[in-house]
Amino acid sequence: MIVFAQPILFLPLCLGLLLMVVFSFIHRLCLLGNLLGIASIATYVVLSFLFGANYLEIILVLLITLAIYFLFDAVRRRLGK
Amino acid sequence: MNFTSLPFFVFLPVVLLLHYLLPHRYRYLLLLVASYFFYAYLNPWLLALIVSTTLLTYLCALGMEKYPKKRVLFLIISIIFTLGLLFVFKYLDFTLSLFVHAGLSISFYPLNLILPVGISFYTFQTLAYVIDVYKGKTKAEHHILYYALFISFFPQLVAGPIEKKDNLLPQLRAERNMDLDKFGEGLRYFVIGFVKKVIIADFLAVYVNQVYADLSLFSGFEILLSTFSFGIVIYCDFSGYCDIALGIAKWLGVDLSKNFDRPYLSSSLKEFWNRWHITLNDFFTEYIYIPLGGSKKGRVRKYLNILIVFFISGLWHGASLHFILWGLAHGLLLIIEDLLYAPISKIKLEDGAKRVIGIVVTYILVNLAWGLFRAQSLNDIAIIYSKIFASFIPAFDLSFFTPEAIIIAILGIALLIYLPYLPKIKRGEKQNYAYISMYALLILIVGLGYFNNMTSGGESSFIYFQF
Repeated sequence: MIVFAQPILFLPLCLGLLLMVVFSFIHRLCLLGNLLGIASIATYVVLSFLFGANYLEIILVLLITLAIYFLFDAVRRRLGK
Repeated sequence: MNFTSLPFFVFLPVVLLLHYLLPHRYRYLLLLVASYFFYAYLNPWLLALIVSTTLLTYLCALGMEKYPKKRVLFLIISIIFTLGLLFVFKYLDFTLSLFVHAGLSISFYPLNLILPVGISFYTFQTLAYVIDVYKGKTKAEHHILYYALFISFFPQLVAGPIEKKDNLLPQLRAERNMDLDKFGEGLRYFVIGFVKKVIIADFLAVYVNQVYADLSLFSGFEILLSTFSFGIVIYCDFSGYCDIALGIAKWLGVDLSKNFDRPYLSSSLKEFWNRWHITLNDFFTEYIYIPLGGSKKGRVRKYLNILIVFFISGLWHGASLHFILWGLAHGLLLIIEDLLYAPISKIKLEDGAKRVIGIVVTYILVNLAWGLFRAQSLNDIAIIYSKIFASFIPAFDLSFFTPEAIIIAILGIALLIYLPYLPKIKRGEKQNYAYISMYALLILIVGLGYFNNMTSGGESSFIYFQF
């Protein structure tokens, strides 16, 4: 799969996930952080297409990202933040 | 128009925008025009059917109110007209073909009429209305345009939920304003519906369709797996449609009835039918099962009533023997469950353990019965069950499946379990911005899945549109 063969593609994805997770704890910057996060993930999608990845590969990676985000969100909710 | 068709994504924002720009007194007109446009977009002549049904039932209900002594006559006219239309378009060819198969020497030329989308749903909605007016449970609606909107309200027109007049009409009349809570609730339903449809149902449907296209090529294990997969497909397809309908209606300020309540977590078939296609089963209970005597006229009569209801339920799903067999199988299983209820309740087991066993057994039975539903012919049914039960070979050919598709299907099912816990954007919620990005990510995934289906020519229409 092309997306896994190109580690550079994961940079914007991980950055986006990090921004979304971290800024959900910082209420004042929550909107900005989350917008930057989702923009970063959108960049990953565009780059993946440019590298020749197909829909299924991108969806797969995004679903894994979403699962990780849900996990962090569950932890955050458990912490009452 | 289909919720998953591209024109709908232009239609919906335009309707929502105009709906909130217009003063309240004109909104029902906009919604009526939009609903008729939505319906006519599929096929313009369909409008003639829905308009004639609306006009006739409207006049008959008024007639019942004005001439109480002749209300039986008006009821009969309404029933004959609405069920007559349904019969001609859905069951005429099937009935005639049965006569031919039975050896009757009649010349039979199939009419091959196109089944009008949603006819089974709006027929039942109008029937419920005229019967309620006849029984005095509700008053006849005097405003014809509001009544027409009640029958044709586009979010629920083509595949339900089947609404009662007293639930939907007052909401259509009331002044509705959009607030963040309603918007958030609508968005949640809308996104969940699309995830179910695009990410789960459409992906799994590719596999199911492949196996069911030629059952003789596949092993018993593969057929079993695809039949159980079909259980997920039909749930995600239909409940996904209903979630989208609920979401759109909420954006229009209307709360539609819930059609699904996590049915696969039912611990008995009786519970399953209280949680699956709830509005249709409520209709059958109220207008067929109870008038037949329900469970009040002895055990034999009760079981006969159950069989009648499930025979009609099977027939409602389609004019084909496999649907009737599916309905009857559920009826028989319900009777067996009822007979076994007393001995099973004497077994000493913890309630939790009993419930888990009940959920597993119900899940297996319901999914095995889906084979009858998904089959195309009696020959298919023979192959499905003979391969599953008589020649079960645990062989599995993955050659037509890419690894990504398998993992997506597994992740999609995991996501399905999480969806009920998806947080809601609402007023005063500290995490609204974080949830916006969560929804944005989900919409991105759904969008990619949607275009993937479009480019690969996969499933896009809803299964229940054909009923």
